[in-house]
Amino acid sequence: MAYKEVVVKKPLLLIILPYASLILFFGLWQAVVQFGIIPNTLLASPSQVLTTFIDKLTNANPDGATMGAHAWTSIQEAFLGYLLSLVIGIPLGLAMGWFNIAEGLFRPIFELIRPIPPIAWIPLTVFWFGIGLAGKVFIIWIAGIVPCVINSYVGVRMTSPVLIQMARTYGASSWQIFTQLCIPSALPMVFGALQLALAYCWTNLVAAELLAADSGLGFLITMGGRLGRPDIIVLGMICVGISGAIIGFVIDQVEKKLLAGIRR
Amino acid sequence: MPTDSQTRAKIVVNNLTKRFGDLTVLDGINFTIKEGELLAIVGPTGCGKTTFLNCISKLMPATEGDILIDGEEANPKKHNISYVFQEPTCLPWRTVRENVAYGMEIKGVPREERIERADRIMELVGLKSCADLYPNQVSASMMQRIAVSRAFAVNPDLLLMDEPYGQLDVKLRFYLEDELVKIWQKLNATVLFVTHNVEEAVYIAERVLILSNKPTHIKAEIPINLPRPRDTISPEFVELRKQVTELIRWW
Amino acid sequence: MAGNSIANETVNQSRNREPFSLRRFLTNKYFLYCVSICLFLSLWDYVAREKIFRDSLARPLEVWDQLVLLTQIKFAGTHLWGHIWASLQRVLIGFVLASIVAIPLGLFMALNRYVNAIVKPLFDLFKPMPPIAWVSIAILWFGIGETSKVFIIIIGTFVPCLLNAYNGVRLVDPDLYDVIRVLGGSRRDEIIHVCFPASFPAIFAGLQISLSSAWTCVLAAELMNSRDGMGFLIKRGMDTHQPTLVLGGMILIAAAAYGTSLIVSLAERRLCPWQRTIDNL
Repeated sequence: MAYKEVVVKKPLLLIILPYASLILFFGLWQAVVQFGIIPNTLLASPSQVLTTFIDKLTNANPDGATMGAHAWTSIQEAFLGYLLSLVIGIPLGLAMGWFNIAEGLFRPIFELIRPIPPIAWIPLTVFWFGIGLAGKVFIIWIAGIVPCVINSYVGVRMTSPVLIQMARTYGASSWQIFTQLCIPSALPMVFGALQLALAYCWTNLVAAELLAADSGLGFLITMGGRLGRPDIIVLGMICVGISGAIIGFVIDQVEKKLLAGIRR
Repeated sequence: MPTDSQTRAKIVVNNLTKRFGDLTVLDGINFTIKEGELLAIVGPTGCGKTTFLNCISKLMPATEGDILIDGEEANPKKHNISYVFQEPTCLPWRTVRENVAYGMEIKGVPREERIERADRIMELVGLKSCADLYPNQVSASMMQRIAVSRAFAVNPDLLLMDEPYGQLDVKLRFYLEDELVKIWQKLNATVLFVTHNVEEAVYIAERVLILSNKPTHIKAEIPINLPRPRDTISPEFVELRKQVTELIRWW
Repeated sequence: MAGNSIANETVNQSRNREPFSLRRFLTNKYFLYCVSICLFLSLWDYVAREKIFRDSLARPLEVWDQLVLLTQIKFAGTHLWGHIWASLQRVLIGFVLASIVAIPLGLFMALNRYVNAIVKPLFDLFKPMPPIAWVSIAILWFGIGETSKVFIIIIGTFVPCLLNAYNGVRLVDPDLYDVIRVLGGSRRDEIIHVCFPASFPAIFAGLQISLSSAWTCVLAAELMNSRDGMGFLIKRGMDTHQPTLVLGGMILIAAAAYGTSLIVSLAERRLCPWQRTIDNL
């Protein structure tokens, strides 16, 4: 017996509206600048931004590096900080979820540091590490570690108590229960942390570069501001947005693959 | 008291008492289970059956009294104690076979033996066809069978069952009860089966203990000497069932 | 066996009547909390005293003294409280403005697919852009006054508010609608009695995220350019190389962020008491 395909007819208007909305937005933006309603010193039109982008691909002026170099700096910093926060944050969170001693020792410090916005560390990191790679990696690490710890902790805490009792009646040791029950059942939450941490890292990377950097996408935005070049500012913002979206998409795919790998 | 030589007392519970603060839940419980016996315990709702099992399995320390297995104090790390819970307890990230083998894995049984024993038990309960599936791909009754198989697979000194079939419908329950009796006879395990269902208790057990309301103690002991397979509508069965029901009712 | 506290609730009840033992005392949670805080402070003190970061880290007591001093003297024209209020004011204005626009818009988007079709693509366009990236253009547009700071906070709080309101309504259990429909309720009843209450917890979660984002934004704005506020204290400390001022500002902003998020969660507990919370996170 063949299943009959259920066709829900979507009104034509609903299909058109999203495109119309986008076209209208860009059209309006272009028009507003083109006809001088907003002066060109305050906002660049989409076409100008595109021209600047093509120019910046090869031209290092006026901010000292090409587009590719800026993007590479940012991505490098973001990934180093991100990896470090995963490597330290996830095991820490898992341990805090299960072992009383780990929780007792780390939870208070974690709770003390958590409400400090990561960018508040910028001055200290500039004092300690200068404005190079290390300082920014530190800030990104601080930003990324929070969701890693919280998600792994909650994941372990949500392990079904009955499963733990079951293992315990078979005489399982605390360590066996931790590795065989708590970690697998926390995995989905941990994967959730991968996405979240990346978003945090990326946001704070831009902030760190805005305030203390000599290259990177955030630095590009700052330079645009200093030089009074709205086209460079908008270009920087768009690049940050697009790269953030691309990285998010990649992580999403990796997560799907991994989750399919453990076949839950 | 039966003092025959071929069946000795496997489990001895002496004066088991459990208090939470001022609340006495278990009040001096004494009983023995013979080797290879299937003992059912029934009691009114809220009589502390779960506390009772948790104390026996050592999940919870008893306030007073001791539980001896083969004359030694019970210890989950040393003795093989299995516990089948009310709700299905399958590890969702392991296949059915790995789930059945999980208890043996903790006990440190070598890999080949583990698989061989798991396969043998799965054959017995008809799980063979879904050995490589994951628990979320099998039905609820299958889940409970996995837990039962896992419990039997470790060759338990004591197998505790906490209303394992309470959530299943009547037809399926009888089917699984028959299956349980079959495995029990085959593997000669010592089973303590807790339930609130009188018919279930009389149907499967060799002996029924009846608990009182809180503070809980043993109110009566009734041996069930009916031939198997038992007929639930035979006069003897109905008589025994009535007798147990009378003892449980508190109104 | 170290720890494992999940399956032990019932055990813990009876545990307190066991005899005192040193081991149990040493692994007690609150004892460990104290140890942890003490260790942290003394490590901090040690690192600062030994000048591992040269003169770029202040001792905890020096930071405390600095904060006390700030309450007594005027720094850059105002007391400590003035700086706190300056930042708080910006956060509150931005936060309130953003949430009164974003929450209704999010609800609207979830309830009406035409609104959704118009707003969603634009929203998706702006979503991946970190709010802090707007700082430069905000200064270009609005100068370095209050407006640009509030603007950045609005940008930062808008997205999580809207997103959570939207998802809150969309993820309402469809069975709940059936309850109202079976009783003969209209579309209006469905919205008022099911949609809104059921999306409350998600909205509050959005507010919490917005709030922490708002503090990050106000800090970024003040670090870039300002004459008062807690971010200004940090910035001034950075420019004049005074670690006490930087650390003092960090502590203040952490306390402020914590305090405001506490208020939101208290409000949540008051408004939706039926919400179950996981642990105390």
